[in-house]
Amino acid sequence: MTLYLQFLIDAILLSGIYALMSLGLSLSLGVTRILNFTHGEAVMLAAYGAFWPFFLFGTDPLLALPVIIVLAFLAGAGLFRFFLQDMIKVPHFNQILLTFGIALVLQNIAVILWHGDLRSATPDYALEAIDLGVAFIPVGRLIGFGLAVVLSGALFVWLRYTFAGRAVRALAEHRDAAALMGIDILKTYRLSFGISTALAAASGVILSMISPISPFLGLSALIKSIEIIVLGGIGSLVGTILGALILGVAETAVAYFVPDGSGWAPGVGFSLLFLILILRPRGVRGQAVEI
Amino acid sequence: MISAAWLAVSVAGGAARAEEPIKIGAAYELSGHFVSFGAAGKRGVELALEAFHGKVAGKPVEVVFKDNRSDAQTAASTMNELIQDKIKYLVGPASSVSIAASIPAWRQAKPIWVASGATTAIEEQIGQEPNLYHIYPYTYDYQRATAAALKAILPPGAPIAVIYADDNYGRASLKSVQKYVTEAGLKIVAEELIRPGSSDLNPTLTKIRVARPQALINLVQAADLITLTKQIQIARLKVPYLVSGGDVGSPEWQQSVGDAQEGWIGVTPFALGAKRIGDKKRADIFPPQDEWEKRFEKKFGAPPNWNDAAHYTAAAMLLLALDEADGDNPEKVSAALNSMDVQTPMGRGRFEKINKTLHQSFSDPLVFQRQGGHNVVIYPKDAATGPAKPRS
Repeated sequence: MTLYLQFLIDAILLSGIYALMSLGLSLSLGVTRILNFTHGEAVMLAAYGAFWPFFLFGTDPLLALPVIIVLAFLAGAGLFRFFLQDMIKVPHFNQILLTFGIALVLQNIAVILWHGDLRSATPDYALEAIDLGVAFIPVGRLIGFGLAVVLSGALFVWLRYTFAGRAVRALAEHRDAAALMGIDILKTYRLSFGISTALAAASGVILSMISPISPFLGLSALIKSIEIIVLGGIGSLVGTILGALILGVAETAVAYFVPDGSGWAPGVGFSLLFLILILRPRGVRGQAVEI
Repeated sequence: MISAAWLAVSVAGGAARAEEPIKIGAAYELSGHFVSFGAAGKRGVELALEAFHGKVAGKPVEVVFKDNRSDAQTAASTMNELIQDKIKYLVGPASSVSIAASIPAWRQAKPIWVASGATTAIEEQIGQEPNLYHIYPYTYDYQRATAAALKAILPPGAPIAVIYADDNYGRASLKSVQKYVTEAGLKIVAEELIRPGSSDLNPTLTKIRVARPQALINLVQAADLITLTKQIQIARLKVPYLVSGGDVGSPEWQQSVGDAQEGWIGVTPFALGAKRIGDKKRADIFPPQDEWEKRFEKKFGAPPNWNDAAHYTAAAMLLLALDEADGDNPEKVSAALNSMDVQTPMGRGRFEKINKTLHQSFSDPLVFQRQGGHNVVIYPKDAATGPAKPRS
């Protein structure tokens, strides 16, 4: 009983963090049709953005979170405005090369500034757990899960009930029709990129507390996010959440119930991906947009 | 007139050759999974070069750094590049994986190699090679010391659990743990494998909890150890003694895990704050440990860890040998290394034949425990500064 309950807790909490990490990428890809390779670096930079104030001034990462989210939003919107806006209609390969190049530059800047040493923020609550007797809930991951629920809930509400949100959905569905309806395409793209980067940054803040960070964190975050959005269905936010849940549960299940399973859990993602792409090539939820 | 011109060219060419730097190859993990080790390697080499003011025997020294990306294949190709560039003196890499991968390429020309890493044994492959100088305890030295320390703390037959990484270090260390822990009269009740880079280790810890060990030996390094330490703390794993390797002594690990470090036992040839005396003849290169730590902190803004000390020592011993050999003469450099006997931040630096390694130095590490934010040496007894305490 203990084992199964702990497994369930770990799987759900991990899924929440995965969802937070990948929702933004799904949004930006779904709206702009650009696969943003700087997404992982946003996670990395936000993690450092949370770490350094903690290390230097004792600032709690959760207090730094709102500031980091706002800065990330502006950075994401700025990235689109100054680097990608003129690249909307070029071949996807060129877009990927550009964002990949920017990602490499950001990574290298991080290496120059902060070297390769591993860091981690250690606020007291990040090492605590809620003891249920038969199982425990890690507080750091619980906060990550809670943040994922709040931010994804806010995102869905915004997309459904605000004009800007509906404009984003319209643009994702049919660009030309959205333009004909008077929607400012470029402004909406910038908004999407900003929100995408802000969501990535939120996950970076959580990661700074629960795992070691380095300038090379971004690549693994990006690969995981791509796995999830392909699993769930490209461009579908609900699909992304489902994909995160499937991946989180599968990885945790393998780690718990397969002998030496912790040794194989990361490979689960790719195995699942192959399986889903064979059985349902458009992802679990179905591909929401055509790239 | 032609003779004068020819003479002028010869003199100019001679002068140019006289200024040609002595090159030392330094392939390190400057990115990738072991970037923390490689970064320490680079720091150690840079500080050593600074101690010599960039010159040995009046000749400039150039260190050729290469990034092997913590990847075995890249490590082999970077070693190959250094060999193709005809570099005669090498330090690094820092990780066992990279050193093992570099061996085939090294064999092409066998330059003098002061290997300041490779806790996993490379003895079977190149231990007998006269041009290899190994500066580091092997993993079996670490595990021998660990087992001896645990034997002194725990009753006979005490249950021990092991978590090991699915890499060169973890798998090789496991064999040594099995041997020495059994010889110490203790009983291994659980062995759990984790994959490097795993983010969720609760499943492993749940299995360990069921085994109820008195000590948990963690054969993982770098980022994996940070993740494991934090998750052990969160899971409130009630194991009296938590043991790992040199990472426990590194400020990087300590900062990253915070209060979770309390009670962890580590093994290291270099303990921050230990009172090692310097070398009387070359105090400029090997000052007393506290002075060396200050020098390091002044340059890099943070205290050194055992990796910094190891790579500094390796580079400094090589530079010293070059200095004593009066420059670029591999045979004389080798002779200088063979006869070298210096007091370093890692202890006595002297190469001798130990087991299957022809030139081995620093094979007796200290076992210490983190208590109240400080290193307390608990083994061997003659170096101990306090008793081991079980975690509460």
